[in-house]
Amino acid sequence: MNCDDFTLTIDDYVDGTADAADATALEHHLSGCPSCRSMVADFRAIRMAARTLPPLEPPARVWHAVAARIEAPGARQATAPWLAPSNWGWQPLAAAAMLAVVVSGLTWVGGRLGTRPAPATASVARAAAETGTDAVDDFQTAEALYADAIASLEAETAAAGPAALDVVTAAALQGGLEAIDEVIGDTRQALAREPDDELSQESLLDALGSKVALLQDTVALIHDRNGLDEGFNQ
Amino acid sequence: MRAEDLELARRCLSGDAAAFEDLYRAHAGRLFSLLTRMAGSAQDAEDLLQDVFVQAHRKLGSFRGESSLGTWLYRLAVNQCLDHLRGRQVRMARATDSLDADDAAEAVAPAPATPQAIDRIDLERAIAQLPEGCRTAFVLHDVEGLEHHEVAETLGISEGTSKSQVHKARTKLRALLRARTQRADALERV
Repeated sequence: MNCDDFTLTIDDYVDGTADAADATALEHHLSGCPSCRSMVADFRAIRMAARTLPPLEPPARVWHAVAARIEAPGARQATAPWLAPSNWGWQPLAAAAMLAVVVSGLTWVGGRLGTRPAPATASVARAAAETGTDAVDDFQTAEALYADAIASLEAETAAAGPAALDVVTAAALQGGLEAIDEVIGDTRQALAREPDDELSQESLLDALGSKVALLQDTVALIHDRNGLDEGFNQ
Repeated sequence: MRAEDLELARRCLSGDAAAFEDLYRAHAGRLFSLLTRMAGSAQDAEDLLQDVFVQAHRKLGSFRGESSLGTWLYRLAVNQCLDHLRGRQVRMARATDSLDADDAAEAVAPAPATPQAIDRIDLERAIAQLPEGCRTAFVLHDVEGLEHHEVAETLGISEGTSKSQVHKARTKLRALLRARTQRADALERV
């Protein structure tokens, strides 16, 4: 018998499913055939490596897309699986790190603001921020205050309309808000599992504070641009 | 376990969004791994995974608990992927033919030993380069651990065809991994 006669027997042998007679015949052939021995060794290595391939994790955007398609309420609070608290203990740190990246990436927006009178809603937001971080121990109260401030600021930016800012600035702000929202979603999920985790609570308040600050900047830029437009018209 | 699955399915059907998210979190990783390797593309796998869970959301009412939810979703994913591959095969028949034609050249390739510890990234890349027919059989058999009769049933082929496809895949992977090793050795010498 030659090598071709053992083609499929080699696979059964590697899989451990070859019957005794076939296995004996193949082993006899292998003793004098380095080429088939090499094939058996390689197939075994491939099979072993294939069996132990690590699982692949889908990006978070897949769940967002699924949730949007099935219109699942609350879907926006989804987390990437590799950030799920059941898998990792450092999610709040990851959230904080991500926030740091977002905030540093938006410094150029801040540079465009200069000093200007704060819009009316900004004072509400600032009060919430100060109350939430310094004066109130009650985490839920602080969170509620931030939520009110965010709602007010979002109403103000929505009222200004999509053309209130130039495209580049609006895109940068929007990107920042989306990144912060993702961090907020992640930390909320962590808190859903461990409501008393102080690190997660702090991360959430930090993220909400960042969102308030960014919305304040957005409102200020809108006011700034309106002022420029009025001056130009005059 | 089945009782838990039925309860989870019931909660999903009652509109409990958190329950459906739990279902996704529990199974998305395994299904994404399967779909990425079967489709040979992470991008396609993302779209397929979306479709699988949207379909699961629609069809959960038909889940009777005869198998586990994991098995039920696994079947949905395999079928979804096979439909996708059949559509793609029709569109890319020429490309597939040219890949199959490479077999003869690889059969006479020089034969330095494949490293016993195969780099997983190299293997993932090589799997993605396999022709679709043998890739699906290989993924189901060697990666997912299905027996040949199960692969045959899943793919609607004979057990003999499953064996020959897996053999073809292993032979091609061997050639691809050897070529990669040869390139790496050549670079080291430079």
